[in-house]
Amino acid sequence: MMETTKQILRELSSDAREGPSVLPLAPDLYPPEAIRAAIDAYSEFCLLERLDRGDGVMGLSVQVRPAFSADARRIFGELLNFLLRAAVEHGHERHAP
Amino acid sequence: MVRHGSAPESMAIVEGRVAIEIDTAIYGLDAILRAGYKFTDRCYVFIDRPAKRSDRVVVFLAHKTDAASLEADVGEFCNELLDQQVRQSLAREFGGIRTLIVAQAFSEGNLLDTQRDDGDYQTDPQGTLQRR
Repeated sequence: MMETTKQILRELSSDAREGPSVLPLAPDLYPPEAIRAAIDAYSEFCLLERLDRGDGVMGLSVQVRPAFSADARRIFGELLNFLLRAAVEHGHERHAP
Repeated sequence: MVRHGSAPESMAIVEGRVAIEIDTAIYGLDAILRAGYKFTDRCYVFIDRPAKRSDRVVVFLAHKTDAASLEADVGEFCNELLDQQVRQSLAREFGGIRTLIVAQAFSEGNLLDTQRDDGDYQTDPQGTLQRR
């Protein structure tokens, strides 16, 4: 199993966290508008940083703020869902006539 | 996509979380995104593209509250994926006709044949009085 797969499955397993996680965000799946929207919406709960990995894939470093660590799994998961919803909505805009 | 159990490298369920590898030659990205979107009410969903396989994506599902129901969710997700793909194919094939039907339904005149409703019977633009 890929290292990224293991990492993301681990992040979704419990509230225990060891430092930031880096989400790989392929631009054809997650457009920049979706990433910006997620950063705006979740900055209060997480430390978020965009990373340019240099291979055309953006990275998003995510670390749930210590004040919310008891709820880290839910916050991390809802961030993933927010990114996906934003990606679908911006995809609609891309495909609109 | 491969069924659960037949190819462990393509799908792995571990403690209420699952990673499903999907062939994008069979299911388009839009269908995958939309299927994932529909599951955000009950699961946490993330989609990744493996670094060395541009023809594959990996969908991660983790149930929000009830890890035991994840296996059923995986089956439903596969059905939803197929449903979304068929919708996309039908939209591509018949989207133009659907648009025309809706436009005609909300239009006062005849969009396809303007002479049919507006023509004068004396000038007989359709030639209905002509012998065949």
